[in-house]
Amino acid sequence: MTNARIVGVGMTRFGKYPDQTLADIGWPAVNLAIADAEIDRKRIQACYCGSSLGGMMAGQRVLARIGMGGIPVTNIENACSSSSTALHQAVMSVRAGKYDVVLVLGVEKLTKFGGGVLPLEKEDWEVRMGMSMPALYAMRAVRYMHEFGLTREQLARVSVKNRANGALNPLAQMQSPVTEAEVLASRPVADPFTLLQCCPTGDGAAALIVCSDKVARELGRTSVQVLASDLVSGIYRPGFRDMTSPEITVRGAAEAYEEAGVGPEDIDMAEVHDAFTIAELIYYEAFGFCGRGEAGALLDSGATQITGRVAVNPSGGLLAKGHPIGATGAAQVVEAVMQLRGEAGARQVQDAKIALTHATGGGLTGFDHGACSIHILAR
Amino acid sequence: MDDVTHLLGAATLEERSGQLVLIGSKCADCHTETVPAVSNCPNCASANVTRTPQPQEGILYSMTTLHVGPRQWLRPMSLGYVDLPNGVRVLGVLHGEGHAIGNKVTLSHGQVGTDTDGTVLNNFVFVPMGKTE
Repeated sequence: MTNARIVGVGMTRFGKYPDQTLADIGWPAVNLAIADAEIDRKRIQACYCGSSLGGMMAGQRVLARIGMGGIPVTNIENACSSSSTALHQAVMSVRAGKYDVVLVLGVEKLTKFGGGVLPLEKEDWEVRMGMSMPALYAMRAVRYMHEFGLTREQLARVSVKNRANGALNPLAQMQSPVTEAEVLASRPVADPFTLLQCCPTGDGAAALIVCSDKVARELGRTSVQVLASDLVSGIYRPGFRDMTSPEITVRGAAEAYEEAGVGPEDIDMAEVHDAFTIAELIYYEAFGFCGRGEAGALLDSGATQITGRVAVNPSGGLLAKGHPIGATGAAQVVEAVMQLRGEAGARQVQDAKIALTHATGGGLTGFDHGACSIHILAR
Repeated sequence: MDDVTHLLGAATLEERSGQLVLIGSKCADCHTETVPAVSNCPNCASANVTRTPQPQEGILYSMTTLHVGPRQWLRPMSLGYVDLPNGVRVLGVLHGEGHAIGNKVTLSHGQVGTDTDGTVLNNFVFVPMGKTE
């Protein structure tokens, strides 16, 4: 079986582009990835496109702008895991020998909803009872603080770290650093979260070129190997669940580490799904970067800063880079590939060899999350 | 209590002996209980499921106070997960003061928002034990 390798990445700056169509937001990222791979676009045999709220035929609408019609396009909706699921499909198709060169695209335009919280599925029971993503994560935070003594200041410091990283990333939506006092003084959203502890809403696209070993050798471009490509779904549980431990990510992490043949101690950098501050902390524990209840202390030790033992969200994460939800998984991989190639500039993680990306989401009754896709990459 | 079921919980609320009760379901095969009521068991897929009144009291597992969200809801609005003694966890709006993790709450009803056409939206809510609205 051939390995799947990522040989090109492209992304435009996440932000608010209400006057652009989804297709306009998407195609520049594809062109950047093709140019980065130094490959003839005619060699791309298929496209997997992740978009959650982009509407019908998102992939076709983007590719039509740049003369790439005709190839098989699979449009994938998996909430915040849409384009990481698209990468998972691409990796499987290359490993299986079906294709040698595949395009992965993530594209989303959230400004079409006019701002506010992410619209959720109205047929869902808890959504009809008043649930929203800030409320769900806030209840995780309140319970975690109750059980483990995490403080509001520690929560705020996740934003301080990630906004500082985002300030070093020219593709981040939020490029100004913030202080702990500013985070705590920003307007309340869902207790204990203030505005600066919630990822911004916005638009964006990211693209990846995935290929076989054979094509990667032929191109001669530095490529990154996909050591693990994991996808898991949530398990419906109508009863009690421990909201301080994300069971879907714990399961996915175990599978991904096994597939990659590495452990938490081998990860040099991770892009994890920090939609809200508490999320990054509970994912430290889910990925084994520290023990249960130790996330606040791990953050305070500096171990997850760019210069630390395991740099978490060097791109700025969802909190600073932004979270156009269907584009997030691919954008995380763009960052990981740039870091592994040593091209991350001022936010470069020194000598990064193994990177992990993690996108999970989907607020549904009875689930921790609906979907979770994890990738482990090596240079 | 007539307007209580205008909103969302219509299929899940019933009046029994003058008291509003939450209706869930119980699987006769694997004994899984759920809220809302369902027609087949989400655990074992059995269709041998009956509608069951839920306990009136529970323990608050976690909560938040929301200042954002769709415009029909109260702002601010407190939401919480309530663990019922039969093993079911229910999301509901919290009314009343002094809510905290681990406290006992009881089922009640009240306004949770106002629809875009001005209709008052009511639903079941949870209030601290010993208090009624």
